[in-house]
Amino acid sequence: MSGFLTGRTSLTSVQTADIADNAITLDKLAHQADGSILTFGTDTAPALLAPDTSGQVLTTKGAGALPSFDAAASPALSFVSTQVASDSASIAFTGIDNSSDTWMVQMEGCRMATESYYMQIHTSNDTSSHSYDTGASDYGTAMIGAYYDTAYAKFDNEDDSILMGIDPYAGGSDATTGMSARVHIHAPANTDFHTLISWEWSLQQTSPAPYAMRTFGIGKRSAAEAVTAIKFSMVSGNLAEGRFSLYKLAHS
Amino acid sequence: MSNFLTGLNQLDPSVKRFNGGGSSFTLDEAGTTTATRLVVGGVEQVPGVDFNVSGTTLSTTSATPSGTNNVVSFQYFKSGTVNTATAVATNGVNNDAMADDAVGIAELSATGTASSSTFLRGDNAWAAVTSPALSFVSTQVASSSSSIEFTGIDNSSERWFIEIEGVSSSGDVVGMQVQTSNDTSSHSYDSGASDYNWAMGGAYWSTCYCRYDDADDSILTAYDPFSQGSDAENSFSGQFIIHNPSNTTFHPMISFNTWYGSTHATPLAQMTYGLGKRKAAEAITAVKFSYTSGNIDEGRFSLYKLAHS
Repeated sequence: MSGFLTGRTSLTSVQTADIADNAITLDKLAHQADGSILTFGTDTAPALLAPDTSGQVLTTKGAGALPSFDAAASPALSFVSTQVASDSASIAFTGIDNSSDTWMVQMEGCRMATESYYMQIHTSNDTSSHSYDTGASDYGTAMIGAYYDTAYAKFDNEDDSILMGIDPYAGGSDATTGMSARVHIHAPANTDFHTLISWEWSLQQTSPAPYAMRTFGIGKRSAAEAVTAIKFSMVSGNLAEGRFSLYKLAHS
Repeated sequence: MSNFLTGLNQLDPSVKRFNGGGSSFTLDEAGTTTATRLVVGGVEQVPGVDFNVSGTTLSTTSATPSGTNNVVSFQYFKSGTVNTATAVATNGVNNDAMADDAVGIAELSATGTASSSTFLRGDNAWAAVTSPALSFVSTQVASSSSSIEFTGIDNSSERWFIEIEGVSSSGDVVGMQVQTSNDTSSHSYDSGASDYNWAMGGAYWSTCYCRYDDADDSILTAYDPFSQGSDAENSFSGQFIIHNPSNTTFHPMISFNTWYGSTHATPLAQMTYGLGKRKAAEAITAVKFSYTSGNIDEGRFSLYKLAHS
């Protein structure tokens, strides 16, 4: 005959069999130091993990060891910031530094306000006022693309900006004509080399017909200096709309 | 004083002792199973399991051991519940009343399913750990290096990326080249005269050039007129994609975009984009980057992979 006390260690305390499944809600858990994490120790008993330092992440140490809070490993690709153009003369990103060797600006849903113009890039190595270099020979540009049934190569070895398009690669401004681009800033903190900036620019043209085009190009700041900020604008007119987002790629 | 079991019909305590040996006993008061305690030989019995009460009859499910006054019944109530969870008042179980180790995973109210691949989130939900879409694998920094190699490429991804930044060459008028290996131990790189082919396009001044070689000992990313210069301010950057490297049915492909400064005439920014392939239906487990002549003076090479699940 089984006994009521069989398997029990106490008549006065609630034991597992007394508790209904799903009965222990968050409100039922005892209060602990804010930020503590519940885990289980090497003796399999519950244990509290102290919050440690702000910004750290929980790291498993595998079976048989307590997890711990450690410095977060950066994701391979990190979002940095975003800006939305609204009839803007330019969109600029500052704070570019040596925390990454490859920075990327992604533009989507953009439209130029003035017909038949080119997007251009200026850079700065000024970390305070961010004045952008605009000297007549500060930049070099080379690009290739498809225009109707012809591939054109275009270049300018001395210019006051990095042009992402040169005639015939010019975009249109009508309401249905958008443009997108991906721009890479290569090793911007390197002060030995001329900084390279590459891009893919997808655009549409209004005249003679709305036509899809794309340019692939490379530009450089013709100076052995760090690039700490980058500015996008049209050669003429404003950026009517569109989102510009900055990302960076981890190298560790 | 309020009663612990509010709402039950309390009796004067009725304790009755019986001689054991049977399985049916007559109580002083009519009651219910859950309102009655039964102790046999000093061991408390489980209501509804070890015994039942109907009216004034208490029946045990097994015959009680023989003995004198070894069967004791306790009647405090005519009805109600004793020793069950419903007898506990709302919020009546405090920490002191709960046994150590009493709360297991089943007792937690978390949503989702607990398993070896889930964790308990702060919102009381069991959630799966998700891998990032793009993962950093490793990085290497060149320092007057004859080559930079990455091993360990496998079927954990179908698309592997190599980002190259801030590279300079010791030789002038050179191009970056790639060789592959399918050897997972010694990583010997294929260098036969017709092991690779490649095709590329690019812009050189105002002219578009296309270049190709259907049988070469490496995948070239630059070919006359495309070449990198070695002067101090020229650098090379590139993005390489190793496509489906563990597929052994196709010839594996490696595509590339390269950007660099040229020394020719004036330092000019140049670019090539192209595709090369290892002309063998074999997996690629390692890749090696080098210049067609001279060393890689400096620069960083980083390997990434894209998740497909």
